[in-house]
Amino acid sequence: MAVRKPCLRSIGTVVAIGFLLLQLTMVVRARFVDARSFSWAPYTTQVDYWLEVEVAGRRLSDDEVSSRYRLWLWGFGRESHGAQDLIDVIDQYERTYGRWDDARVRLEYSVNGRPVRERRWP
Amino acid sequence: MRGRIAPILVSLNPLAVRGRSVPPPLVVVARFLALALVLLPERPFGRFLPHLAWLDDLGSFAAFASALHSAAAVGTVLVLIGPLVRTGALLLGGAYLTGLLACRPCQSVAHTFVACVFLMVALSSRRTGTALLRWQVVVVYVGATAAKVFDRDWWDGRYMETLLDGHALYEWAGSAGVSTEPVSLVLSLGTIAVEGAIVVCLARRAWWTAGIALGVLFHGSMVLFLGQTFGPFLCAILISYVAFLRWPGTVEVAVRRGPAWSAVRRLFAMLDSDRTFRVRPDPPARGLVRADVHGTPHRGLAAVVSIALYSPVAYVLAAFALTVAGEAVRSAVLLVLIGAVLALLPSIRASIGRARRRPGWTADASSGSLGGLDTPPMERTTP
Repeated sequence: MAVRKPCLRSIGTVVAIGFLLLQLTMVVRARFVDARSFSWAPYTTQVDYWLEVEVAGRRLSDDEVSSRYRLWLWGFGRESHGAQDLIDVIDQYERTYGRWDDARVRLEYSVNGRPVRERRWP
Repeated sequence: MRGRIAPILVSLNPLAVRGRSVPPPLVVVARFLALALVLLPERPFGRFLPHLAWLDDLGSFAAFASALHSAAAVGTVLVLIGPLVRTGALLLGGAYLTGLLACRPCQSVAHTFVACVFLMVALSSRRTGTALLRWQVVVVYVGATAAKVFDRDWWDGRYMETLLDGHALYEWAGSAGVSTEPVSLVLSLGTIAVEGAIVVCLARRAWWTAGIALGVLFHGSMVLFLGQTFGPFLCAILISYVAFLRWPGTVEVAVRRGPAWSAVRRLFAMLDSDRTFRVRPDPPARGLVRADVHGTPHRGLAAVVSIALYSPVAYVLAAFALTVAGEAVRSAVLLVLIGAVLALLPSIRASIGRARRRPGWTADASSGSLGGLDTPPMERTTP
């Protein structure tokens, strides 16, 4: 009688199918949240933004702001994923790495040329 | 001694794509992409504001980045040289995905897709063939289409109007007093329609060729129009279409007998590491070159394209052309690709017609769904 060996290949297949389903879940999730992380939404939104950051009473230059949040990666001033992704970056930085900086941040942004909106920290 | 060394040397040959743990198309995909990343150059992102908070506890920033870069470097070597393609792909895909999870501002669809391609190659086997990577490509287009379909700014052209603000064409239109809104609307709706059509075509076996043709035309023209490749995305998406190819056991090539015949034969002997091509001379009256793939004869340009499709060395040249050769060469390569697709449309239509008449015709060895890697193609007889 032939004994079936546990098949590692099929475990890989199960993992891969689970990974694909997870991606589809993220695509569906993106319909209900504003962020676009890991949702296969390439260049679906154009967010033009302006950031003012004051640390301990000193206003940072654009280069310093760009470095602070690493926004130079895709070009400072325009974000191509979603406004919430930009907000999440600033929010997380100010809650973690920059929590002792006593920073005041003002973000103005426009999504796809719509009227400008504002967000402030704290 | 010589008998022992020869198989090792063969297994280390980067141009030999048969006899690995995954089908030849996946070896080609992984090697092309690994080479393209080296040439661009690209490497996994370091840690900064991770999506998963616990990643911040894993060593210093430098140690974390160093670990990912080392994993990617080892993975690249394993993918490019030797038989451990899946192990290398796992290291590369894992390193890129970890880098993305560890860096919120680094969000990039291009790098995410690169990571997913490598991971799908790593998780594939002879049994799954190319299916996992094919479905990965479909999932990407499903996500891209859904993102646009549910966004009203894509239905009224507002997104495109913002994206192309500053584009030379729009600046010219502005100076000429011509409204760009109709163009933006056509481009927006066209993008939704094309991406949706690619999903439908790639999800249905009989329409794969049309899906690939649409994809090449869409991405090629977009890169030419916008003048950017979106990082490694162009390379990754174009090479992922190889997963939809049926890799032949052999390709019969007939070259017109003439002064160049012996040089052509030597060239094939030198570059064809897997002995895929069986080259023979043809009487002068029968055309310059013919290629017989899966029993379908191709002549002229179609024959040249068929030979290039199944030649690993062509992918090495393409990797250099799309990355380091400069924008002019890249544009020329894309124009040639688009031209080849347009020129071969009749063949593409014919292949779709054949597939409609013979559903399941690609149940072949290379896709791995039936049979082993190097067995000849099988055809189902189900009507």
